[in-house]
Amino acid sequence: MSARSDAALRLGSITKVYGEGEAAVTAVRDASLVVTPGQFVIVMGPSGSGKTTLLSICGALLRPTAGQVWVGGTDITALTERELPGLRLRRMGFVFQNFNLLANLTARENVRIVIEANGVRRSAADARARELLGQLRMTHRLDALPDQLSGGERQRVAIARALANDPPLILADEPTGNLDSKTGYQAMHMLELLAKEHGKTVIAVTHDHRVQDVADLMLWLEDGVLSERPPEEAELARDPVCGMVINALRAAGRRERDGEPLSFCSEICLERFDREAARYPSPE
Amino acid sequence: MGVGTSIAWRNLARERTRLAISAGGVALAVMLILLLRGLYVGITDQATRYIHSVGADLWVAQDGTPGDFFHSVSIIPETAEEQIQSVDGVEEVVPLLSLPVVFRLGSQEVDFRLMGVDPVSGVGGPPGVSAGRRTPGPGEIVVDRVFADNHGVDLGDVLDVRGLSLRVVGIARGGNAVISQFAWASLPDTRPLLGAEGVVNYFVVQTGGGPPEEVGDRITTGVPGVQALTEDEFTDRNTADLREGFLPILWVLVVIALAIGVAVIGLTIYTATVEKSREYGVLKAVGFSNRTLYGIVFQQSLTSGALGFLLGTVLSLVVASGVERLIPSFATSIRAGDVGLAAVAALAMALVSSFVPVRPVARVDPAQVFRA
Repeated sequence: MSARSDAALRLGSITKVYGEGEAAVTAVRDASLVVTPGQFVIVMGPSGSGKTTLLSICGALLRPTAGQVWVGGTDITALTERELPGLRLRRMGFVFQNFNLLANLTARENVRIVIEANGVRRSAADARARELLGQLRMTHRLDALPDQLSGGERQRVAIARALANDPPLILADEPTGNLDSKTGYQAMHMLELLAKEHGKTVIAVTHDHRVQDVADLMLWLEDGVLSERPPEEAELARDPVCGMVINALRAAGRRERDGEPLSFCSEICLERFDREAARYPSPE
Repeated sequence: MGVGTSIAWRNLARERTRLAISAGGVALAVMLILLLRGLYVGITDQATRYIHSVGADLWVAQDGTPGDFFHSVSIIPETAEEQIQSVDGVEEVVPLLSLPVVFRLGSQEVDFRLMGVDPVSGVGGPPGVSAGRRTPGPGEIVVDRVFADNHGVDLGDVLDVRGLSLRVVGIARGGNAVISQFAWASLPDTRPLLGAEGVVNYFVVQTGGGPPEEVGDRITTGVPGVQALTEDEFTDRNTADLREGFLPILWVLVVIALAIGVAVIGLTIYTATVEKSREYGVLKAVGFSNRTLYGIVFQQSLTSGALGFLLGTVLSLVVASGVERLIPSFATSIRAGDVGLAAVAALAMALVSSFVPVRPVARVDPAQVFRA
């Protein structure tokens, strides 16, 4: 993951720690990444692994505890709080799992306000909103309120809003999370098209394995550590106490029995095992 | 129209119940302010209408007395009339008797303030009449319509006022001083009720050229035992009780009304803001500044205030008109200046209320939008 000057997004040794002292939790640990323009990158990993924190940092919604983030050539960690909204407005688009449309605004208004916020006159903003929604086959639903739209339609409006100011970087949080399989595929391909045909850089956080097939790069995030691949089968182990499959490299504790290594998901399982080892047979 | 304005309008237009509650709160506050203020002005108008109707440049009362109708008896020798007349700048001097009278009317004990007026000039008589004659002759009396309504008195009735039989020849308008009503009889008839000969209570003076204040100063310094008051001073002294007794209560109620208005708009806007904190978070995330978000809150608050003001003003006019028809003695007078005051109050309510949700807006974390 070498740094490149023409990178669309570059993370330089990002660490994010929540809390202090004994209560401190490291959500992202020394993560580095270079994403080139037009790349479709997905970040996968188990719940609580730090995916949302990483995406929030990439989107200038959260400041890292250490490290730097460059969007294009701009070090966004050096920007002031006053400068960040403008950066998000012009250079980033967001697609959310819950769509997050404004309930009292129509599909067209939801897109238009973002364009207007960028200083475009209402009539021009309206024309652009119509055009974007038309491209996403939403012309017939321009004046519908979000609660009158299906999940797939809402996601299309959300994608149109993300593209409102033609940003180079699109950040998507579980974009297929609240969609059925058919509309999920559609949303996935829309993001793919944005990257491959429109040259947008798309970074999506997801649990959806189908997205792997269309992504240019798949990253794995577990316990705050970003890597380019998920753990291999050989690195997986089953906790003998609770039976969960875990990444043995990130086990909370280890023991050995009859020369065989045992890995534990948490200290609770480890203490149970230490109290009554005979009760827990070695996993197969 | 900015982008914040269009979001504010959409929120208001699509959440009409919330708008109705916040505008209703302001309307109630505006109504309370306008009606209380209107009542005060109406009462003050009534209390001073008689004084203004006399049209005197100066009222001359006994020196050392408060100089009003209600707190003291002003006693001036009749001989002072010539001395006043001789003061430079005085054109006309007319004596006036004024005394509170309590008497029995049927089974009731009633009272009014009886004015003894010159039967020839009629100076000091009632402001106007709704029935009958304005100037009472010997053995005659004019009573105010509020007194007539309250006690069932009509033209032709004979009132036995402490042994003096007076026939009602006129029902007056503008003689209700709220706590009492005026009645008018001829000066010679009322003199025995005063219980003293050769004295009057007031002289009303018309000046001829020159400021009345200067003529009044010459009367006060040149004629022993009297003080000359301009019409404004005399009016002021007769409304002192209202100002001192009623105004502080009125202001307390106005402050309460303002607080109610602020609380209602503030709470509805605050609730709306907290309920929409996720939407504010979305707007922050996509790049809206805090300033734009405050603008949305402020415009919602301002619109509620403006609608409440309009609604409250219309309701106040309707209620004031209805109350006046039902209870003529409690006439309210809503003036343009008071409507302006209510507008300022509504604006203040909207402004103060818009600060209530500033903190929650500022604290909205845009990163929350990534949480399902």
